[in-house]
Amino acid sequence: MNISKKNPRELYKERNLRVMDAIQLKEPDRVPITPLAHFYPMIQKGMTKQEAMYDSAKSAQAAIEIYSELNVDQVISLAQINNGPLMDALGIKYFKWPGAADNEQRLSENQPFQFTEGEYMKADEYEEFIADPSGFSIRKLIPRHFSKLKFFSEFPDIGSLTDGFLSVLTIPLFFSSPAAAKMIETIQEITKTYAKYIGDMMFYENQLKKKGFPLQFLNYTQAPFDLISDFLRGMKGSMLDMYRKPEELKKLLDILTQPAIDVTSDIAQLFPRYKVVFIALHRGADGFMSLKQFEEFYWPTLTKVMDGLIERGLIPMPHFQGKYDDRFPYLEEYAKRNKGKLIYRFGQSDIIRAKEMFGDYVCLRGNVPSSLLNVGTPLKVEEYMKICIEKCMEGGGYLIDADAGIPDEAKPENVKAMCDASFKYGVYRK
Amino acid sequence: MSNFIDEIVELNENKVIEMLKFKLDNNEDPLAIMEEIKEAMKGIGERFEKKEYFLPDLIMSGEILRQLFEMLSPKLKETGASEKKKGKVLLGTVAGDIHDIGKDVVKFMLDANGFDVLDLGVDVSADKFVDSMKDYKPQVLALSGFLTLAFDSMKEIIQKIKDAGLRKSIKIMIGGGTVDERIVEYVGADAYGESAVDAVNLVKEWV
Repeated sequence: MNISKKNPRELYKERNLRVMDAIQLKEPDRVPITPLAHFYPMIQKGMTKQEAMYDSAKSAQAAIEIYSELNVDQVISLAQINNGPLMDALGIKYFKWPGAADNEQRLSENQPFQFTEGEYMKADEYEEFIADPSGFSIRKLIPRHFSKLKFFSEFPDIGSLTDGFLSVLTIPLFFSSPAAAKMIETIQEITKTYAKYIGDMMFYENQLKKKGFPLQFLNYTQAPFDLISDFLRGMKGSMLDMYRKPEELKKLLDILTQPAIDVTSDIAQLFPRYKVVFIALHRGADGFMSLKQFEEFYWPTLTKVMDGLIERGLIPMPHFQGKYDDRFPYLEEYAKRNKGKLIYRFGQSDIIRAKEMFGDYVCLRGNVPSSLLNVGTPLKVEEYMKICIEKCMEGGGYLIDADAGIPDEAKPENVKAMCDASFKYGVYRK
Repeated sequence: MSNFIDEIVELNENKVIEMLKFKLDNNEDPLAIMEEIKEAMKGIGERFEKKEYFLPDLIMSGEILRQLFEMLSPKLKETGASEKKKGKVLLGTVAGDIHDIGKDVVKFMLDANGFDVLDLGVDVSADKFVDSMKDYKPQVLALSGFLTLAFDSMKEIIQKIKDAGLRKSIKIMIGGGTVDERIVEYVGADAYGESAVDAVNLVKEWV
């Protein structure tokens, strides 16, 4: 679709402004198109998922081509598909992915990366973590999360480092060990891989910018409960702890809240152009826990993290994966307190009901069904989009996106129909 | 002494284990105890259906029941009794997908409702489903998948079942992630469920 004769610099500004207006609940000229996606563009270009994860330069090319053809307003970052070489260099244990060097983590070339449950902190280690979060993270957690960083377990006790007479010996001792020599080698490998990956990401960002396309976001955080569930206790462990160790669990939730804000703020300072922080929610959905459990263990620390981000001028974008319809009153209350300062991204929740309930206070995004994009027809997609846009566009505050992002296997004609609908039905003013 | 069944349903872990110890020490009939546990499982299932219980509660009840069965099974073996199940369900997460949360909840709820369930695990190929159908002879096949690639895996599995001439003898339900009515039609299943309660209701309707 030929939209204008503006130069890329003007287009870049215009697209960013369009999205920012929608977030701030002002009507832009047109409903912005901001789809999340993973491997869709690489698959369109005939790549396997393994190739996509291991050749970030080629993935960047594929994504630049496909997203600019689709004329989206903001493009998703390459971080969405992760990076195989970096994951190998670190020896990540909590993902399995196509072509992983480690047999245990390896999936076949056309499977996407997938999270694997693990109990990285045992139930009887709460006390130890709470007493010394930094020490526990360095000496226990990092070696359990990353097979290539096992030597962190040898790191001197953090508490002992206050004793200058002693640490003058313990620090050199640690760095003199054969494990440390190996560590230095490993870290060099990690940084080399990282530099290559970051280089490809910057190439991607710059090429898109030259064509007039901004990125959506580069910053992520998690709900503290999900941090515990994903990276410490596993889902089973975290949920049993609600019964067996509720006080310890709450204490740990509190401990993890401020660091989640701080690390996100630090990253935001590296990329000051990007304000949106993506928060994929995992365990808080309808069907996962009761409203009472949600209120007790999930929502309070999640909202504290979001408060902290907003205070620092960032824009939280919780992704309400699955259904959150039973929690709408909570979402409504939070939106009312933070009008125009965040984005609610929906999976299968009823976005039209969300618009009616709290669309005057918060920008909504998402919800176009994966099934429609994979097995529907362009006509069906257009019909769906027409209703969605007409019901959600009033007053700004609506961004076009699919429920879980553009599915890897989506039919290109359907994806095009989703995006084109903005030009057909989403125009506020010419 | 409070009611053993109620205490299980209320998920009072320590109390329940103490009560079972007492019962075993007093030589209560293990079959009668088993009946009480089954009654309690039904109660837990009902709370899940009424949306009073969710995953944390099911996981906790799973932990309690596991401990109770461990304590009880040596005594049960002595009686030599075996229980009659209502029907057989073959279950698994389809090829390419390694997610198991949804599948495990469905298994739990079908167990609690007295069905015999064979769980093939995750990333299960079409051939494995077909072979297991031949051996296990289930009335219902339950296919789970969280990723969107599961749509095509489900389609392939059902096609292979058709090719093996087994489609008419089985009801097929699908669920998980973004699965909906469109996908039922696409893959050639009989129905989909949004929750484990839907899954139980479908099996009850079909068996």
